[in-house]
Amino acid sequence: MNGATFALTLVRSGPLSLVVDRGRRNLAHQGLTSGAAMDMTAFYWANRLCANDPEEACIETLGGLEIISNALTTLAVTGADAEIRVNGERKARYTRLKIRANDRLTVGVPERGMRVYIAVSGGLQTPSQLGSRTTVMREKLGGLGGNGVPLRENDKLALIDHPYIEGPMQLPETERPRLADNLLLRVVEGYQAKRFSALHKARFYAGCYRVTEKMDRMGIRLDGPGIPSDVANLTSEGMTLGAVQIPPDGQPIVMMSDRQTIGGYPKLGSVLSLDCDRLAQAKPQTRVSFSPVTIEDAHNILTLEARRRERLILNEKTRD
Amino acid sequence: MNWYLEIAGENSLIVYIDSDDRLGSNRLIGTLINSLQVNSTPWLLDYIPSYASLLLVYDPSTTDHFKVRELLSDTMTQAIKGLENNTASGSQTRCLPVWYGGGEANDLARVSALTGLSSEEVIARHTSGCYRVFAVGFSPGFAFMGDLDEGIRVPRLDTPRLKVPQGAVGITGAQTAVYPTSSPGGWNLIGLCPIPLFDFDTARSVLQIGDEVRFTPISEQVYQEYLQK
Repeated sequence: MNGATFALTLVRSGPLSLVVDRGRRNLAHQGLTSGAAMDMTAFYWANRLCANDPEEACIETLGGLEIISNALTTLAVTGADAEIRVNGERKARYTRLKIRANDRLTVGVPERGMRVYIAVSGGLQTPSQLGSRTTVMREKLGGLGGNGVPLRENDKLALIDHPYIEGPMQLPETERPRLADNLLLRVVEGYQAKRFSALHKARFYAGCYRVTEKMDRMGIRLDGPGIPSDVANLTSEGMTLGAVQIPPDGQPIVMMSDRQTIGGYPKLGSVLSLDCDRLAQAKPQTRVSFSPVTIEDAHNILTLEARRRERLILNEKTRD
Repeated sequence: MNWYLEIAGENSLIVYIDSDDRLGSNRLIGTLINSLQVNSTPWLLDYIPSYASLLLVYDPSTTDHFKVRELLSDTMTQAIKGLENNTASGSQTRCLPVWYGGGEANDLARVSALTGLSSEEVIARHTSGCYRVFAVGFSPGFAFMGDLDEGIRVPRLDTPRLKVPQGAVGITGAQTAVYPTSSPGGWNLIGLCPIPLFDFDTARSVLQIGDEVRFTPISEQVYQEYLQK
């Protein structure tokens, strides 16, 4: 075994770059968080463009990243709208890139969106811990050293020997996730929803909120019309992805990938996973509003999106 | 015992036990987990038991909320019967050593001031209790235990600490817990426990829901000896 033969070396790591995958599963009952990629849609397309299994480990970065490869490989960059260059030459997002030995990939700081995903053919070969390679800083799990530390300068990320793959190469522009300044998030009502008054729920759905600076991989705090919670003395309970918590100040918090497993604030329900992906790309000040969706509609939306992805044919790339 | 189901999200349901009997509710949750055979159910992606609830996360590509709802209802009926028949759930009794008053981050003086009890009396009341693990979560291996002696129930800190040391023993309201890893936290800290509470190799919390826990006082020297082991 010589995992270091094929590797990506980080010349610059940017403010926050993490190895991520679909996250840890079936461990929430022991207190472990998921830690999945924040934008699972962009994560999916990055892997798909590299002809990977859909859940191989990628880099999730806020930008400002520079990488050198020591071997021929396939790479794809998705998610936020950052400038991408290979050896100084501008390249497109959502496109399969051919990377030769000693090629240098730079990812700028996104103009729109927050998080950029970089997949490489065969997936990053960092250590798998408890069924996942994903990095959770708080739990000191995952990442290159298996200790939850984000990627740093001079880190070498091992690859498997996986030469460039010819084939369809580009996600048609019309099919790419849009980075919007206004987000409408669909909410499956649940948890304590029935205990909020009709008036307070109406206020929630009619309200225009803004994403605040208080946002990280655990949760995103919003600012807008305060919602009195109507629920006193709640006992702590399990939390889902997208759970909309209403703390005593009435300002909603949407729980994201690194959320704590249980919490004691009242909840109105959960944002659809597909909409959590869009929220993961929202910068502070992005406008957010909510609309209710039934669980049956939510199920149909998920199923339709899965079928759409299966049937979608990637374009032949017209230019490199 | 009364119970009801609510939707929690696009692929999750939550069972609530509607009862003032905290101990009985928590026992029923434990029995429900056993009856569900959580480890051999392919559509079950995750489950999170807590004081009086159980959250189930299912794979929406292989099942839907109608099926899970039906299964949960059936299993709940069985679990209530199982509880009445007093089925043992394999819970354990644990004894955790604590260096009371240890460490720089310590609120023993604050707890004394709030309760009007001497530090010795606070420690005596904390060690006199036999606590049940009601829930595991928040962070890996963090066990919510209760109930505390009414004389030492104090509110959370006004401003949470950004860094609670590993092994810190905290109290708030009727609850007590040991912080398994260094993390932010708002509980009143009264001592340090040298026992690791999460096994990262097996991904298992040392304390499990339903376990009974007692604390015993140790000296700083004994605490240091535990750490050397």
